[in-house]
Amino acid sequence: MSTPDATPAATPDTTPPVPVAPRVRRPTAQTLGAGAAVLAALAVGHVVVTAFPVDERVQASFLRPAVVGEPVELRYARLTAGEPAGSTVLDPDDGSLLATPGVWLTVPLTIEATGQPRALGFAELLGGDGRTYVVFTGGRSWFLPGTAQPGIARYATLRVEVPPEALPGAHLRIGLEQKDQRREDVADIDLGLTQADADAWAADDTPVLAGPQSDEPPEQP
Amino acid sequence: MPGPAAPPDLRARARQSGSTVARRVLDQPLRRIGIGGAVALLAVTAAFGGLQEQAQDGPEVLAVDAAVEVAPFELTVHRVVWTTDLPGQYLSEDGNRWVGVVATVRNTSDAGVLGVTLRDALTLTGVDGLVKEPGVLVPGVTSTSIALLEDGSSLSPVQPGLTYEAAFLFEQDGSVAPPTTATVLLQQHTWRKGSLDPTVTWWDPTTALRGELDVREAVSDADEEGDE
Repeated sequence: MSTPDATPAATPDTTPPVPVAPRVRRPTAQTLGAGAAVLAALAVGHVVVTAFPVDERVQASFLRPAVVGEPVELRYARLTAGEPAGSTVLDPDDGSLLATPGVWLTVPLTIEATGQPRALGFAELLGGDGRTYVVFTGGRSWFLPGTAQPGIARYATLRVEVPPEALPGAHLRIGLEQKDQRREDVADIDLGLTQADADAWAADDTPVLAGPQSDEPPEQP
Repeated sequence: MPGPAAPPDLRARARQSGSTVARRVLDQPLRRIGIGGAVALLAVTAAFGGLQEQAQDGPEVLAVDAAVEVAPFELTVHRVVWTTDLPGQYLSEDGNRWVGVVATVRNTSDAGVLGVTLRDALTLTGVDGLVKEPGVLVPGVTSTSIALLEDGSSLSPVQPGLTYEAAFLFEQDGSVAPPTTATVLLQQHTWRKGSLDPTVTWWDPTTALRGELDVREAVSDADEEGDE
């Protein structure tokens, strides 16, 4: 009796295996087109950014103009610059006296923080001579008011050494972050200085005082 | 002509992959691959200014009392002296001494520059026993402090339009003999954006002038008056 499902006995396959080359995927016209489109988009983007330099305008600080004695409202604080003073000798109120080949300029500032504690860290003087004078959180030209708490006015005196010709028309700029003022409020204070101020201070060696920062208002002379 | 540089099994795999580029590259002799690589490297460096003409062959010779431009400063080196006592300056160990390079400093840019850039602009080499180690990014040893002669304060920031008389101070181990000569290096900086930080500032201190100067013991004003 035969078994219909029976299979014939397997015979060994003695033929050697034929190597099959792996299929290589060739880039299609569609792939190449997509790549070209990406490159074209990048090129157009580069041309647009180069031809229309919008970065500087988009990232520019929001300058808030003010004059001496007039409070300026910033996003993070209310700031008031007092009457500037100057001399060729600075008294930093630490027992030493600092000389300068130019003129020391001091500006008393009152800081009223808005909403939360703020430690203002940026300051620079734009001289009337077109040059920029750095004011750092340490060193000779100095502004480090410390943290102002909301509801408690903070008093600090900024000091910067400049050549006398920088004083007439000088503007003081104050901001929050020392390293980055992009898209941020920055006070731009016209100090109202004249050539007469520059001449008088350049000839004066009476030390001008730059007292310590405090929550107490400075004593009036 | 020498044969292909690549091993046979790698070349066989390249043939099996069907990639014409890979097969042709691996069939090349080593010399041709080397030449091709060198040309490619040259092309890449050229794209970043590698073939631009050099402004100068090497540092110029620094002369005493001659003002030189090393952006962003104009520096005039007057003398190199050593002393064990300097009011307002504090040595890390008793018995050490200061080696001071006295110079006139002017910031010739249109904005104030922090003292860290000035520190990199003038360095010292060829002096044994300096307490500070040579830097990685700046040739020579940078000063411990830069003191104004007028009041002893640290010179920072350096404002434009002002002329400062200052001493670049280097602390030397007191167990080493005071130097008789010192090599002063003046570095100039480049105003550019950082590679990672878009902020534009002074980068790449590069030695522009180099001078071996005599070193003598500092004479105080009182001693000078006594000699007269």
